[in-house]
Amino acid sequence: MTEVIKREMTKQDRINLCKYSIELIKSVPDSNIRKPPALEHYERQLANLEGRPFSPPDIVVGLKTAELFAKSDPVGEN
Amino acid sequence: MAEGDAHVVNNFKEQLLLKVIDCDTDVFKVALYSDAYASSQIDGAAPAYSSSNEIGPANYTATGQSIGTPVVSQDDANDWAKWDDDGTDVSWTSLGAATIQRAILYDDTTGTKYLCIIWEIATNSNGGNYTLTFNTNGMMTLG
Repeated sequence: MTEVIKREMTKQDRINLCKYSIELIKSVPDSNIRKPPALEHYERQLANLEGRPFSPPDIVVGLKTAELFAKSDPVGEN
Repeated sequence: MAEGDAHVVNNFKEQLLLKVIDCDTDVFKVALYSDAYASSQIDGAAPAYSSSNEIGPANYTATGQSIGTPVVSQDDANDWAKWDDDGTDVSWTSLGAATIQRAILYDDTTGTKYLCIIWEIATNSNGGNYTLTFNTNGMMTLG
């Protein structure tokens, strides 16, 4: 399930998630010693995402072989 | 009917027998179209390349891409002759977003640019590289 969510998240989704996390962490009391590193982590992620050029995934489509049958009667071999 | 399914245009079969199309030396191209395949598309007197419904996003040039130097070979193990491209596939770099439902192989050498094979496509382009890979058995077998 986690993998599915990861694949379907767009760059904008990730940016929004970072912004939401930052706001959430900011609301935590400053006395919480985990606040500064957590805030730094998400702010770094946000900076990375916003600075990264958009690169859509490559697409590969497999084509089947077209078939021409010269023989309609499978009996015997020419 | 599914993505990748191939349909041989009837007139192409006739042109082969009439020696009009040379699968070994003519230049063949693949063009992409936004409308869906219909069985009637393999019929008709001389269906030829047309820009009608051809896609037109960024990094796509009308008339499509060449398949490179085609290769015709005989395979006695399978009792068929094989028609293939040069083995490098057909690809577009950073092809802009477009609805793609058909890929058509046509002869770009003949005066009338005869349609040869129509493949059904169900994957749209998204701005990334877009590649069509031919099957290991080639573009077409004559068995």
